[in-house]
Amino acid sequence: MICRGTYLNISDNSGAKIVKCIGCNDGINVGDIITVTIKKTQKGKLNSKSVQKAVVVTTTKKLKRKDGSQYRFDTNTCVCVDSKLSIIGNRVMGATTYELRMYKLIKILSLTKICI
Amino acid sequence: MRLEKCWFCSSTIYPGHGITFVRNDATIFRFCRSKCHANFKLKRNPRKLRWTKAYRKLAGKELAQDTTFELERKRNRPERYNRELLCATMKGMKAITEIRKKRQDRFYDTRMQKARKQTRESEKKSLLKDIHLVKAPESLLKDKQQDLLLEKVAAEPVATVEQMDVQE
Repeated sequence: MICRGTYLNISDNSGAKIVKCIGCNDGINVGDIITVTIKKTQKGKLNSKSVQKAVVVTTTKKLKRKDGSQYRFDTNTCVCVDSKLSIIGNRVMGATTYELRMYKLIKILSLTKICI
Repeated sequence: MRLEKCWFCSSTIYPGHGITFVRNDATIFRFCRSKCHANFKLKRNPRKLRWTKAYRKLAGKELAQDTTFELERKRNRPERYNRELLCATMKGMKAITEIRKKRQDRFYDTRMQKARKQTRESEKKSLLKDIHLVKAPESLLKDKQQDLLLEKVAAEPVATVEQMDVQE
């Protein structure tokens, strides 16, 4: 379950590595947008301690679909986006879910190798 | 809808059943039920658990290598629609499943022949060992003595009818 204070991994090459959620609604699922602060960085554009928006890509909580199938992931991961919801990095690692299509975040889907 | 195989016990997963787990490197593990999922989380090896297909095939308890298994396989090459080919495969599926079932039954019978021998021998051993539970030792002794007597009687030469006539 993602709430305020949750640490998430970043699965793109925007520069952030680990972020902390500081603003979100209740019951965050795949495809929701949260505000985060950057705690750890890697090579890229973003610096640590900056506040960013991010899209949740995978969750450890079960993802249930209408056809009855259930999906579980290893970690909570997100992708950094700017205020217009366009992706900051230019590559997305690991798996993403087709639920992002519902939120019109097709750019993220097109960059990933495996959609589930 | 595709019927997938369970990663752990390799049974078929019907729609709406089980759970899929996606690792960080995007490899997909599908499980048919919570039993398989729980065993995966405990990092157990399906080859070492007796109830999985992997164990049974490895231990020679089921038909493992056969040409009939080659029909059901995941092919990533897309096939162009061809009515004749489709009809032929539909017919082939039925025929091959029948052949596979026959071969599996034969395999089971040959495997059970050995087992039957073993069980019979073990039962014989246990009967000889624990005969006192079936019959009291005293009555057994009596039976033995009676048998000895009968043997003695049988061993004695019996006079034939011709011999008896001569004596007269």
